[in-house]
Amino acid sequence: MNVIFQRTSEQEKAIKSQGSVIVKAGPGTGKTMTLIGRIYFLLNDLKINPEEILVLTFTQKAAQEIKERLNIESEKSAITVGTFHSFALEVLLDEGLKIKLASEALRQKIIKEIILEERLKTTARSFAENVSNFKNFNSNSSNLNKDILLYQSKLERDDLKDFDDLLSIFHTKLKEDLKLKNKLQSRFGHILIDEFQDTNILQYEILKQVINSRSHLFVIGDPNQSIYEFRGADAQVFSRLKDDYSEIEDIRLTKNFRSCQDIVQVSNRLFPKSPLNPNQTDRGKVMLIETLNEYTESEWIVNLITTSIGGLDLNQAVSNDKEVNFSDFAILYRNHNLSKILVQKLKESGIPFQRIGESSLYEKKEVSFIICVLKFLNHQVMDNFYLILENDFLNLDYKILHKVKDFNGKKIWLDMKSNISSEKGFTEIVLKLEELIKSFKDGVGLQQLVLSICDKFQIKNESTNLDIEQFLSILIQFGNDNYSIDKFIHFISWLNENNFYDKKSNKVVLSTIHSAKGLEFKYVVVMGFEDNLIPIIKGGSIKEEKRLLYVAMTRAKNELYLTYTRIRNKRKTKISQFKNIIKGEGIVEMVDKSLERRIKAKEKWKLRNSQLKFF
Amino acid sequence: MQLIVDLHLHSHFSRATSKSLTLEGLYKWGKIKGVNVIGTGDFTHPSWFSELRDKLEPAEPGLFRLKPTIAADIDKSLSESIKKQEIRFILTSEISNIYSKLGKVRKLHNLVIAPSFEDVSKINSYLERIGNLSADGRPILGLDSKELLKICLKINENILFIPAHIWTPWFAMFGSKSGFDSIKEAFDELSGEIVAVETGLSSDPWMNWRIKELQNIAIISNSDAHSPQKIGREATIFDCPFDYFQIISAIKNNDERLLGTIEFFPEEGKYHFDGHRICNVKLSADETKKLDRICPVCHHQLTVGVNFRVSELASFPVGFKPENHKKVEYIIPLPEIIAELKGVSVSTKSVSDTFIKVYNTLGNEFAILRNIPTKLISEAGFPELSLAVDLVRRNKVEIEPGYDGVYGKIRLFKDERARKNFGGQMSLL
Repeated sequence: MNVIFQRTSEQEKAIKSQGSVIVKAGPGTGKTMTLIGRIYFLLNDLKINPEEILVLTFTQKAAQEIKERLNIESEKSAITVGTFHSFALEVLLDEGLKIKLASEALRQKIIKEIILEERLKTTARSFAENVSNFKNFNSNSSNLNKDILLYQSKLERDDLKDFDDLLSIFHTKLKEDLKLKNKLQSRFGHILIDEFQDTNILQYEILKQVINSRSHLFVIGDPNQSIYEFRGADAQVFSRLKDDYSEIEDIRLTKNFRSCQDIVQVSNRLFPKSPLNPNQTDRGKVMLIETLNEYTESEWIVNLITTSIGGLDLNQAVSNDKEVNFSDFAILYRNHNLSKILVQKLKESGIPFQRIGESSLYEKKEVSFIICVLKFLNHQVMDNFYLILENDFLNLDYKILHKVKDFNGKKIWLDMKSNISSEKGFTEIVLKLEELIKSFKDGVGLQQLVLSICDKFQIKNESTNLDIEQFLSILIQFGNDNYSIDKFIHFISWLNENNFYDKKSNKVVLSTIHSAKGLEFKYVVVMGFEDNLIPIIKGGSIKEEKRLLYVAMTRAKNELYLTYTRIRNKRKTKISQFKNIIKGEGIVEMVDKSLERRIKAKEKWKLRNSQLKFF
Repeated sequence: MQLIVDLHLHSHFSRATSKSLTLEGLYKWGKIKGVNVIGTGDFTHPSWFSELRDKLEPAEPGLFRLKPTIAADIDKSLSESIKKQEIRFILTSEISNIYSKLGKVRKLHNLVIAPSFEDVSKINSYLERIGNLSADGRPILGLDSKELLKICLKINENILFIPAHIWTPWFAMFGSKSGFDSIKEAFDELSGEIVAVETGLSSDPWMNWRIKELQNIAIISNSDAHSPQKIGREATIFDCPFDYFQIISAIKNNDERLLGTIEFFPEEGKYHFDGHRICNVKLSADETKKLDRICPVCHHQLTVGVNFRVSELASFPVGFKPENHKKVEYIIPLPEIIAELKGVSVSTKSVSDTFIKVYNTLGNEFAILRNIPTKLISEAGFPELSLAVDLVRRNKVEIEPGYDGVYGKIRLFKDERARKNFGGQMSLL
């Protein structure tokens, strides 16, 4: 069902603005609709040539969504819609620059190498963040260290660039190449930027290069939802823009269409200077739930879903005449660690759920390794061989990988293996693959091959068993004949294109707060409303933490639950200091019944013990 | 050839099921009970499916048998009287569909029956992307039943989709609490693809015959067993050879190959009649209607049962029998008959000992309940049992319908005096 809202006067004003405009669009105020409305206005009313319009987003997904909403096919359309990165790449390639981008897998590999070689006490993720931060704020060169240089030299050895390089190359190019700069400036008379709060300094500098006094800028976003400071987003970018271009008009969208009244009222308290007005007439529900520990917290959440849906089996069955689906629920948390017990409890309950960003069966380490080997057997070329070696499952010494790659001159597997099979740790793999190739040539079918792979590489164990069984259960359909592998590999690439998961499937969503940005759900539970989780006090920016909570709370349409425990991981916890900000009318505090029960049981026990002392 | 078929049951991978629900357990109890074709249940569960592939081998088209080495081992422990009967397996699974449609949460259980491991594999790879198949042998999917039906049809037209135990209040197509009022409402343009419904323990064909939409489609019965002892407690009787495609086409065409069903007395169900347990009020559908669903004692809404729900949707009166109707056979499980004759609980050792003695002497349970002449039962040394079986075969039993969560009672004897009058030689059993 498509509900067509009447535009608010604020939206109307933003869409039809004549000059440049900053649109501050709070959660649920129709940001995307306004952006799309603006594009239509430019095209249909102002009759702007689509070639003059540039729309920049922060994720490929967002760019894709805009294209879909505009109903344009990416290749044919004359409007440029893309991320800063894709735009940069496109322009640079157009200019004849030869840029080879390192794949994310390769980048990870390089980072892991450096961590090993240099015996660094850091995770691959934080290393990557450091590199990225350095590259994005190269003004601050004190961050530059030999590890980053090493990383860079490894990239350069293969003549590769990473995504961050792309932006700085683009920026430098724009500064040096006046012709290019002028070309872009005169081509794009209308530049629209979505999620402007996520812009980092480098991106902002690029933006400044491509606009001139005749450009029409339309930036939209919400400074209160800037939660990527740790990744370099510049929370001040709105005021920076205003400082640099004082004539730019400021418009605020203040009507929240998404959330019920209490949710808007309570979340407004986080940012009293920019309150939103609820459009909904229902009050909805905001609840603060105290529970004993992470187990009772998860049980409470499972129970909430179960009762809302009206029971999953006969013992729980209750009537429900409301429209409720599993996908109406989102459980949000600070980090994935927090969801461990919840996942366990959800599995026990049988409730279908998915974690955003979670790997599917086919992406799990063991299964993806088997798939790599199958691909190699089916097509015995070096590229497929590398895939096996690079797979996390083998966890191979990177030096071996280098030796193999150095041998790249002879591209034939047969030549290669005789030359370097003497390498320690490598001989074994080659021998195993040799045997598998033999089986494959003898016409052993898909299922049998998979079992042999599992056997040879000792993949099956207690913890992987269910995954492997699930995988095998899916393989059966491809039969066991000579074509079975081929058919299977087709199937995998089809799945790959279709995202492995059925996106539309009706499941409870588990997500970090960060990944839930931009989404909305009827019922939202924010887990772990405790100090050191929301907010992280040590090393975090309290302002950013507040914005993070704001993002979490404003995902909810009808009901919002904040849960906190007395004890987590066997340690006493403290309720989030943000409670003092959001408390007040519209928020109901509740103690989990199981906690009451436990307290009573404990008191009883204490009483009995104290009485026993008399004897 | 007459086949007794039970398509709906569960493995030990489903919740609240017996650990002995293995293929071996099913094989053994299939022979004791006299079920010829046993559903595997739970084929969506990866571990169970793996067990099926390990222990079963293809037999006749679309059917499977236990591998001979495994079967021989079990046969060793069985008496001659029941050993000979052949057992076949058929690939089945039940899925719990929970979703919203037309403004309400709907919870339907559906049965899926497939002819090959390849088809099961295809179904599993579809459903794996939609829900968690390893949590439960009967997975919960947030998927519209109609979409599940579509997936099945797309994979293979020989896959059979059957709405399960359609009258249970909470988890069924016609359930009063979270079901629909018609097949059409639930399946829209695909309604024609619903070729059969399962009666479930709470209804019998007579109740279903009152519904217009069910006049021409097959009405089948299965056990929904959660332990091997319960397989075949309801079942469907076919007149066809061991052949998946014959069984399926008999159901699809609802033709003379589908002979009829073996039924529980539906009054035994916990929600057959309406009423209030606490107020001690028990009412038939007609009485409830007259009272406008209000309890005459506490003046609150009555808990209405399955029978009421049927009368709500019915186009035909009680006792209506369509022209193309099938045979309906009511049974009381043999151990329960023995327990009542002995005047003890069904779970006692004395009952199970006698049960073993009886089938070791006479043959499987269905043969005793349905076929063996009572004279022979008596001559074999079980005269009281022969009389009791005769009563059951003639439906001469005492019925006390269940209501508001209270199980109904189906008894041979009204009271202890009647039991004692029945025969003085209980000790012989």
